Amino acid sequence: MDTPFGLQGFVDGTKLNGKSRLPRIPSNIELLVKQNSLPHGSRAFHGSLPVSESTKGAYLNRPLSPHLPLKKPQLSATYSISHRIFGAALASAILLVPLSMKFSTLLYA
Amino acid sequence: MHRFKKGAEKMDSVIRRNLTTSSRFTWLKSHPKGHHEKTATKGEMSKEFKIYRWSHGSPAKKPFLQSFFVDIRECGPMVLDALQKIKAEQDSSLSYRRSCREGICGSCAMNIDGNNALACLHPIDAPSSKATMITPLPHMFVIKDLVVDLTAFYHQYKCIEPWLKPRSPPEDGREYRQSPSERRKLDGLYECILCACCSSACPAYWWNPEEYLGPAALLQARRWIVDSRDDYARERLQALTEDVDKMYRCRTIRNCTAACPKKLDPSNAISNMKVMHQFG
Repeated sequence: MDTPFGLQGFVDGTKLNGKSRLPRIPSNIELLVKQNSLPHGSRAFHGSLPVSESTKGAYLNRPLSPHLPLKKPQLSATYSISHRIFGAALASAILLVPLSMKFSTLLYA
Repeated sequence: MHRFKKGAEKMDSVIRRNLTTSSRFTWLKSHPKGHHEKTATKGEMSKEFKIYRWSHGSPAKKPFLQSFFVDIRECGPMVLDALQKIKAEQDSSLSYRRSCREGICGSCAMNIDGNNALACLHPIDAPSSKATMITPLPHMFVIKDLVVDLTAFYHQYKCIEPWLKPRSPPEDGREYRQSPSERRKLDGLYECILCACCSSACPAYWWNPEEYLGPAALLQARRWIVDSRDDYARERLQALTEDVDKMYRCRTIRNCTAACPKKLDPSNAISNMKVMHQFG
């Protein structure tokens, strides 16, 4: 096995030049992996279940840890959210003020 | 001669005093923070810790905050020391992850007083009389007490293919070489310990925990994109930007940068990748 260490991490579809070879995969790999990855009484690791993580969490009846009210506000985060709020407010003002001017009955008085 | 004797007595008393105090605080001996607390406080000093508790053993019971009182004069300087003390002396059912106690494994990431931090690097707020609140990392599924399910987080890390992908074997047949300036580009990226402090501090990650990869995985993606030995930077970037969720869910809130216990800048790394994608 004279494969350089850096080449052992090749992904599928990557072509190897020269004489170096990838390590051979044993034919009973599925059995080996199954035996190693799921010992008795433990959960499957790395999302091997087809359900998504949030579904899994809800399915297992796990609580979601506290987030928004608990997290201390930061200057950058406050700037970010206020930027969005003022942007939305400004956009609605730009749209609504001319409209209200146009349809306002007060202006004809 | 008399002066010498007096000096020796004085030295002896100093050594003895140091011996008695340091035998009480053996683990604080060389820590300046711990030494300061030890000398500044007199008598017993009890500190309240409010700790988030939930166990799958009693799923009907809602999560709650349990108060523990620790004499911080008898305790190490960091929050992890207090947790260890509580677990050893008061409630052995308290669960948390910990390993190295020096901020290199990233196991003990938790939310302390509203900020994500590593318990082993976060000093106990001793001067304050307010209780310290310890909760798990925000917006994660709790397995027990302070232990959260990081499966999705690790899966996202796996998604960015965090390994070297060269197109050809090394020229000299032995190793891929890098100049010092090329190596310097990795500084501030490779130090990430995957503690999940940044990802769980990010509101964008809270609302899209599966579609958005999160700052930790994206920082790692950046680390492999700038690596001079890696030949798949373009493909990596394309994989991140093929839909609007994986990377562009980042709104540059910069909570990640504020939360990082290793003082890295995931927000800047993501911005750099956005620039790279938009301007070639």
